[in-house]
Amino acid sequence: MVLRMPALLRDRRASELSEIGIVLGLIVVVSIVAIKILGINISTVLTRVAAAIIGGG
Amino acid sequence: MLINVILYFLISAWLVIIAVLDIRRGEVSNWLTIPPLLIATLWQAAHGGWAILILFVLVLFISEWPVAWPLGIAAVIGIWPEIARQGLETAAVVWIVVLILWVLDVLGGADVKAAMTLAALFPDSRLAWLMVICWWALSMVLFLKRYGRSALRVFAATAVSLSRAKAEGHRAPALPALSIAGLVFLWLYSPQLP
Repeated sequence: MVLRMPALLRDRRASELSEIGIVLGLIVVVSIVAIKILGINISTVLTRVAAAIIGGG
Repeated sequence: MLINVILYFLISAWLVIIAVLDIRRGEVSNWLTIPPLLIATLWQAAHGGWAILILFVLVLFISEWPVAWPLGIAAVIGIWPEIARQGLETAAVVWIVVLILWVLDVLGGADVKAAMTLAALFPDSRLAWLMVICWWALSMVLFLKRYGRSALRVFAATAVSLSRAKAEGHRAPALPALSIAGLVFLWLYSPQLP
């Protein structure tokens, strides 16, 4: 059996797809700003979900 | 203090070199991206942030088998209390976002590894914001330069075609933006290494 590096580590490309990058960048920024405005703390939500799963309720 | 300054210079030199290589060749040798990522991850882990090691394994796993992403989400939610306790929320979010962009073929592997290295060394939301703003601003400048007056039409067409299985478009260097963000963060905010 030959061990090979995971795909991400092998990838040497250093460029972005600019057109889609702009659209996705805008989506990311708008999402973060919307979450901030709505006052949702993602970390708290995830911690509660994890506690519910691990604690069984 | 002196150690911090030496590390700042080393990190700055690394950022400049990978940015120049990106502009000149469009790719960066793995020797310049994998060792820094491993060092940053191990450094963070050695200074109390061991949850980053689990994240690292998860990132490699999902990059190899993207179809297993639901498993990755479940694992991240499972270890989130530890991630939050160790103050690694920003690093985790950055790692997840760049991994998604890499899986979608929007970012190259070298960009992802460089962003992961910076986020592991400095899990600070100011750096994350700087990276997003610089990346988006540079993309916007190159985009407007390429398309000029038809930029809005191309933007709308790209937004409509986002659901396509294979991403298409022009490739532009992303590491200069990341390097600017890193340099501004290092020399303006003078963060303490973990």
